[in-house]
Amino acid sequence: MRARTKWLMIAPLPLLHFTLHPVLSGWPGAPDLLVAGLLVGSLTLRWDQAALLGCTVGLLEASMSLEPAGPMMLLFAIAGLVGGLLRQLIYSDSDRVLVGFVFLGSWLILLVRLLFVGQGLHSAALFVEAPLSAALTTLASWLGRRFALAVAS
Amino acid sequence: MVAAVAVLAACGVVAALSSTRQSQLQAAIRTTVLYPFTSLHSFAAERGRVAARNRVLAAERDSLAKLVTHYRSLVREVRDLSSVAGITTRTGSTVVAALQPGRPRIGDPTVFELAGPGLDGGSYPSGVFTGTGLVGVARALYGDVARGEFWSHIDFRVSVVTEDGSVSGIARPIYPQAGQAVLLLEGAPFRADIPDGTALVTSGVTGIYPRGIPVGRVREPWAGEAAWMKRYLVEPAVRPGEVGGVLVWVPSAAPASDDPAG
Repeated sequence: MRARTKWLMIAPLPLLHFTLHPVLSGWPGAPDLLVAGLLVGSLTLRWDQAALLGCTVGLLEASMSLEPAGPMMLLFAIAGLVGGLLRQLIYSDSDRVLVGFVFLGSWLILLVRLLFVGQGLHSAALFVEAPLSAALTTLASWLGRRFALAVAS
Repeated sequence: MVAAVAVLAACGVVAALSSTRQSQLQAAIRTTVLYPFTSLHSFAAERGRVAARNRVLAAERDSLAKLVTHYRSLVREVRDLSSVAGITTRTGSTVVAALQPGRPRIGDPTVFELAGPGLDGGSYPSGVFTGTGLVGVARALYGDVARGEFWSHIDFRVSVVTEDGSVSGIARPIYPQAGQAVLLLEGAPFRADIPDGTALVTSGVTGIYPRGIPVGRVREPWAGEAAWMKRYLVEPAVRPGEVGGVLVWVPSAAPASDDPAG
């Protein structure tokens, strides 16, 4: 995959996330386009690049949502790093892998974020909001990938 | 490998910073990298506020149109009856729209200035109100600008009456426990109990304010200062901070009165 296509897949998602931040942050089940961008990035970039991407978007997200910067940066950097390492184990261009990876990854990131950075974990967040958000995040990343491939081809 | 360790180390360094330093870093990022996004959000929020205000104004205009239609028929009726009975009718009072461009003295939040065409045609003092209630009193005209006091001014007094006309009294501002200003209803008859939430309107007895302008709603009985006299705290209908455009009452023939209560 060419570098242009890769960044065409990754960049629109964080840009959309920051543009729609007031709308998306008001609803717990909203898709997390930043996490979608990060996970798509960890699937397409090298793992050290994915970690750097995570660190950067973590800092931006913490600045935008006024959450603690350090934990957020660490969380996103580790997510990028682990995603990049996992990608080496399960290398595939299939849509199913992308869907499964982004769904589980975004769910996990959301839970860790709630537990360590946000307001804490509760059953509604665990079983309703997080899966819904993860599903929508997966849909957004799949659409983003389709869009990037269509533009690139 | 080295790059990944460096990234994690950078994250660790940021995490180890004090919360003040982290806030400074976040503020720097908000004003640089994220500036286009935060500007967009501010713009969208401002548009939302303006749209909401427009909806309120449209609703206010519609209710005023209804009132005007109602009062037009009343005026016609009064004229007809007056001509039948041979009574000379007074020239109708009117209102002048004005804007509140600012405050004449920095640090005094209880006074205001008004500007608008037609202010020089009025007599002062004169009542100032909005569609939702009484704002204060315009005291005098200085050039093109009328100066006045919000109801929260220490010298402000207004004669009020309950909507059914059963109880009347004088309302003045009070600052309970050094908090936000509210109105205090004094002079209510000792045997009259005014239920909480009762609407108070101007009585219009001295001609400074037209009759029937909402002043506020009774919040609770007030036991301060003198127990032998019934007083009530009144939640004002209008907060000075919410006021932009106002209406100034121009009575047809205002009685010469220095009495601040109207």
